[in-house]
Amino acid sequence: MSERFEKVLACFKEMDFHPKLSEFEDRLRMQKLVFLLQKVGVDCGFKFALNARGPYSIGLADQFFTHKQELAKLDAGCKLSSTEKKEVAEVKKIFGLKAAHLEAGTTYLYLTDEEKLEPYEAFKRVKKLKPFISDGDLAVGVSKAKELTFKPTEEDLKWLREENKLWDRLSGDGLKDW
Amino acid sequence: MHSDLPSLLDAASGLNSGLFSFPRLSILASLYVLGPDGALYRDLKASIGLSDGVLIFNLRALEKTGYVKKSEVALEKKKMDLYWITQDGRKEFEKVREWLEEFTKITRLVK
Repeated sequence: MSERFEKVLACFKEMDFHPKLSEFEDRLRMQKLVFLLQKVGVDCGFKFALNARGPYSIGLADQFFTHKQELAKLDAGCKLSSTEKKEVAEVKKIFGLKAAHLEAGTTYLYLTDEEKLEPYEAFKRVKKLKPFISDGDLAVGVSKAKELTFKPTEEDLKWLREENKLWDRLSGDGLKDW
Repeated sequence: MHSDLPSLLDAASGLNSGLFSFPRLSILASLYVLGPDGALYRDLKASIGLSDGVLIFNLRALEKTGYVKKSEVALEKKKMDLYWITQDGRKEFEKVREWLEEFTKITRLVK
């Protein structure tokens, strides 16, 4: 079993996600979760390409089918670092396991990151590629993708501090009366 | 490997001519990369962009030849049709793909 697949198993274990290879829904979740894990920095080393099912890794699918036993037991020979554990927790907290959100969010991220589409263009393309996902689930999935990958710049932080200043002052002033 | 167009065209008799259509090649190409994992009917429809009638007709034709198989799976508690390519389908698709690659090369040389 490759080192990169061992890391995938360790991530699933950390997430408390026990996929069944016989279930299509779990196979879909596994693909999308590994894509997201790689996006937040867990280096599993699988290459993804966009096809009929959205971002998909042939190499990863191959590992699932080759190492059925290890997958069933989540038998991972490697341990995650504390940073990786945090990244895994972030993916779990933000996305969860709902297939529609995972499909919409990962396809959106693929289009913005790999194909360099502008957010609005990427959203339109996801809608075209996944017309069966409801508008509500599409919006939630894309919003989760943005939340997961959002990294505030110094300018964003400055703006946030300015924005909060007034509220901080008001709450401080209000407390003086107590 | 064929070096001239007549011999390459002659070799085409060994291919299944039923595959030489945009819908069938698109379906097989989409399923080929997904292997045993397969694709849902709704994914094929959205990614290839065919109408229901054309897609179903061609999927049934591919099922009849034994190149594609279908089963029922559950996704978010809904039952859906999952299609995947068989070993025969993979072999035939690879034969057609190789032939098309040679065809492209030879016709470029002729030009």
